[in-house]
Amino acid sequence: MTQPDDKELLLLFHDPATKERAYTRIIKKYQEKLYWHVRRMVVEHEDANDVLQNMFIKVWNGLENFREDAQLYTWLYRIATNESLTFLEQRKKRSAVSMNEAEAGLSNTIKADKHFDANRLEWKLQLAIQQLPEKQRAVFNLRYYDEMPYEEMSRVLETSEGALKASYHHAVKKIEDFILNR
Amino acid sequence: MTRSTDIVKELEEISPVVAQLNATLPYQVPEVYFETLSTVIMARIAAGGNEENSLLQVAGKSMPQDVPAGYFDTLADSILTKIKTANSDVTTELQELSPVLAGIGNANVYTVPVGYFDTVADTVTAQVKPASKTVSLFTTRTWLRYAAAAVVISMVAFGINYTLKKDGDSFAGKIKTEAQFNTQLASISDDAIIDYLQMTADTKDAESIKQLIDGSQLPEEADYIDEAFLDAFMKELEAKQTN
Repeated sequence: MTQPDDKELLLLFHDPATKERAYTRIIKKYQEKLYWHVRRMVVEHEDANDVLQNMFIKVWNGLENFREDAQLYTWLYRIATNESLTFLEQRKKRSAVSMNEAEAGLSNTIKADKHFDANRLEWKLQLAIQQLPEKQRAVFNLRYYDEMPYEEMSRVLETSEGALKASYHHAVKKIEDFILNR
Repeated sequence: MTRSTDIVKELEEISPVVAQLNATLPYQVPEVYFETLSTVIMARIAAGGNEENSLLQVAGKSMPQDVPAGYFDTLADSILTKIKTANSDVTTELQELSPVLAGIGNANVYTVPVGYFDTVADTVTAQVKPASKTVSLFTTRTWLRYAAAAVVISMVAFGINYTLKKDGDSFAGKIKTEAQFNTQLASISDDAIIDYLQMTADTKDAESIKQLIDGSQLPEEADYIDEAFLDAFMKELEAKQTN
């Protein structure tokens, strides 16, 4: 089934008669990509589900004013990233934990996954990613998993391309060190 | 997962180790999660976006089952009827067991003094209260303990000494030395001394005792509670009296 064009979906969304149907199609089009982006940040499915639903509800309220000067999915990624970072920040504040403790918490969550296997490199990679600061984690995930161009990433994260390239470079080095030495 | 050439090349330049890793995410997702997600989100939007359980909101609150016509109009009467039936079951049972007992009835034949239930609470409370008096005696008891130790040692010593001098024969064989006197005195318990004073001392005696005691030498009131401190003070007092 061919994915509907974003412009077409937005037109349908602006028509009250087709608004809900259009939005349902927008959700179905982007739900998996956005879900995994959020899940890689917050780790637990329940948390990812909460963040994703809240994000789509915000999008429903804000889509009327979407100016279409940026791509729809860039805008959606920006909201999803901000919601994920806000969620992690709020959880840190609620528990009054330090950054190190928050990282340890997410690492423990990964280890608690019933499919976790410490001998498999893809699990070790997840543990390595969790030791990155949240924003750097988002940079790494968007480049490594979503293969997002730096130009687009700069619009999602509202950061310069140069800063993003440097951040990604450092993130990869940290992950390499973790994989080899821990 | 087919990687972009640019992404792979970039990774190999930064870290060949990371470039070799499998980029597949190991996390699982519940079955049919993505099939139902849009429905859940639209339901929450319909419910104003705030309701956690908005599927219930969408379903509405009308019950699919019907209630019989006039059900609530007759509910009270039917409940009362059931209560009466239950009571009449008791009567029927007694009738079957013993017609004689059933004929007697269950009226109470005992009487209670007028106003009894109005005063029972006060009566019980009054009986419980004396226990608190023993607590209030603590401070007086301890003060008296010190006063008794200091004064009685003097008074009894004087009295015995006087008696010994007055009737040397009667006591001559029993207490002759100060050591024997002290031994006898030590065998008298503090409670016995206090009881003696409480029985025989009046306000004038208390005042006399107070005048004999140098208040500045007495411990602070708070220290009365510390038994070890009291014992040490008693020993000090006794030592002073002996000297």
